[in-house]
Amino acid sequence: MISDSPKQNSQAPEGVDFNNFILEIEPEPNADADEGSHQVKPESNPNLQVQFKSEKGRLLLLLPPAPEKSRNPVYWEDLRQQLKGRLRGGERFLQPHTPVHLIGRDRLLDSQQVQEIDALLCEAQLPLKRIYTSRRQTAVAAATAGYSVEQQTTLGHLGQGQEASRQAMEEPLYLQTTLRSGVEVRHRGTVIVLGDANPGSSIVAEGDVLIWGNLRGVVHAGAEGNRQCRIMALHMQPTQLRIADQVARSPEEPPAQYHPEVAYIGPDGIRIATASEFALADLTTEETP
Amino acid sequence: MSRIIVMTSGKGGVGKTTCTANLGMALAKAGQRVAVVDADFGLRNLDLLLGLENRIVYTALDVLAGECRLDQALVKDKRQPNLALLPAAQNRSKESIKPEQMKRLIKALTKVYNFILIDSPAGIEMGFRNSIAAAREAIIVTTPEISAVRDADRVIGLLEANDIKAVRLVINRLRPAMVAAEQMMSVKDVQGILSIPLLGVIPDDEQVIVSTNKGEPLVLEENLSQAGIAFINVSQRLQGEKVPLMDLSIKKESFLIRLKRLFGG
Amino acid sequence: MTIPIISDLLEKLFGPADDPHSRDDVKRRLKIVLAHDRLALDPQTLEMMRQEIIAVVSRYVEVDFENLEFSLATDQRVTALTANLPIRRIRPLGKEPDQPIESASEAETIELASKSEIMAMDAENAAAALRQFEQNSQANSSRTPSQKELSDSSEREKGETGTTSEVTDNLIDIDPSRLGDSDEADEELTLDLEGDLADDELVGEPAPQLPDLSVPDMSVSDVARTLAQADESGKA
Repeated sequence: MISDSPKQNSQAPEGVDFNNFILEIEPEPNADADEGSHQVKPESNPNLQVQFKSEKGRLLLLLPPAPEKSRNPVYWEDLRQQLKGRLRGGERFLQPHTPVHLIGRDRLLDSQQVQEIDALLCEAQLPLKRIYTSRRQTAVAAATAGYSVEQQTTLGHLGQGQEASRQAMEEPLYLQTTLRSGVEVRHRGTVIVLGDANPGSSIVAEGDVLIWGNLRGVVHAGAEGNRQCRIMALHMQPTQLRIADQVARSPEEPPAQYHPEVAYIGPDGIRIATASEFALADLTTEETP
Repeated sequence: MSRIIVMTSGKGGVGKTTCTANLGMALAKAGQRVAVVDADFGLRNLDLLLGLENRIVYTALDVLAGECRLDQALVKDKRQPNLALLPAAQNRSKESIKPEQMKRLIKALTKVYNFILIDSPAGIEMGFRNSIAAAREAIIVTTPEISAVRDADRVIGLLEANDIKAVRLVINRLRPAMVAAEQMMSVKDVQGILSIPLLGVIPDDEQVIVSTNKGEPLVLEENLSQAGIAFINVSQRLQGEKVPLMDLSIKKESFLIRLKRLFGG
Repeated sequence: MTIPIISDLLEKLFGPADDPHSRDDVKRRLKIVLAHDRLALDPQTLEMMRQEIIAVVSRYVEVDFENLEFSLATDQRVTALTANLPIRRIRPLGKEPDQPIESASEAETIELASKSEIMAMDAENAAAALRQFEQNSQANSSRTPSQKELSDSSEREKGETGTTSEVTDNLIDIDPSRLGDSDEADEELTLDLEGDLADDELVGEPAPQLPDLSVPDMSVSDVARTLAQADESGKA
């Protein structure tokens, strides 16, 4: 509680150890009671981003869940930008003419938004074939716009729900692009970037992270707790590195010359070794703390 | 009672963030417990000026989303333990946070810190409204230039309309030589036009750029530059001390001195 | 090594040439801009306010439209509107215009019209008068350039041939005595008068023919005071 001290420049109130304190904010006035205990770090929940999944000759485009149901909502403009980024970054690997099924989940979309998604997919020569949604409003909007729609109340194995489920990792996400400041990429697998990750950008991956370029942003590998994950870059100059639950900054002194480097968890936390030092043999003899 | 001060200006680029970083650091050096809050969501800079950009793990948004506690998001300065930074999110925009949420954050901070400086973004939209939501005092930062003064005036009006009555002025980037040459407004000119009490004057100083490059606030230097001294003075006035304004006037250089300077003397 | 330009060299040694003091410029400009910003009225509303003020004052006294001034000034965060409305004189309705007043001393002895005369003049009347005046001044200003051209081109005519003379021929056709007339303007106006006033009683004199009066300027506050006095004398 705030103590009432008459002096203008009083020290912090009694009872608070300035060097070791816990500070919480008041809860939101109308917080949901049931969401209280189940705290999932959104950064490790890749369901909050646009995802592509290849399946039986089709491409599934999964949208993040409805903004009103999410603690870190992804609104329409963010979603559009994410989709654009993924399409551009995966240009070389998305097979043209692969039919796309849009998994809208519980997201509300109007017909214009559906058409915008279609337009973006068209630019990548990907035809939007069907839309799956659990919301009647979205189903109606999509149907009115002329798309095939399937309305389902449950969407089975397609990654529904806020909990980070223990599924097998996804295929690697390959992006050929430069990640700008403010861009965030989350993926349930390994992330490979052909390009730079600029300061202010952020990559959160359940697997490894490879940057074939300059790494200057923030990277989190093994986001679900896998301490054996690595971060590799041609030019390692990160704002911050995270592997599993460990965090590290770059050393103060940048190296005289940059060589490709690998970051991994050693006995004392995160360590960086040059690629040549980091021989394959070392990988197999790593301890798993 | 904690002091909650918003640093605002209207115009961008006049030095709000530099002032927040240096004033925060100066107050901390003087023994106050200071939290500086970056309210510029999406275009954060306060972390850079303090050289703390590498140490950000959580941001204010994470606290509000319940992902972490407030103390976990606060970045404590290793050079000056009395100072802590509450970082803004870089990958969101100013609409990501609402005034009510800002109030909750600041209120919690008052339990531990007795000075809370809120670095407002430029403009008068949502970002500005968020930063004044919890503030009880305001420091208007302006430069002696026509656009900055006009924008500052608008902001002063908005602050008055929002019941923030303790509004004071900091004039930044003053160039005494230009004032003497009648090509720049003087301190009196600006203060006369804006008609709010003057808190301090910071001269234009190249050291500011150097300090930003290094991520080391000016006031931490061993040999304080003119701007550094000015910031310290402002921090003392904030704490209630009477400190006379620095004499920044320039005597007209003599011909000989100019000659020397021309030839690299 | 770059060879210094002589003027740069001189400037470095002797200081910059005396620029007009931009510091004064900026202070002046800021004061004006802030006066308007602080008032926080959009230009249309400000204009409506101006016209209404003139109309109200015109109900009681005849305002010299040509010399009136409206300005905003600001000091200590307060904006003040100053209206300078020169009173020509009081002209009771239905009578001929009086002789122009020549000396300042005579001006001081002007009495206000009686209350009934004041009331006889509608506010709408005054507004119409203002509108008409402004239409006239616009019409005049668009015609006066041609007056100038008239003299200019006649001078040029001496040295040039062909088209110039055609132009001057056309210009000469305009009857100078019609300049300043407001007949056409009158017909275009749609006046919504409640009173039984004949057209020729409308106050709308052609601007160029106004006598130059030396009447002490009355500020809005003065007008208010005199109006209050008139009210009291009327009630008594």
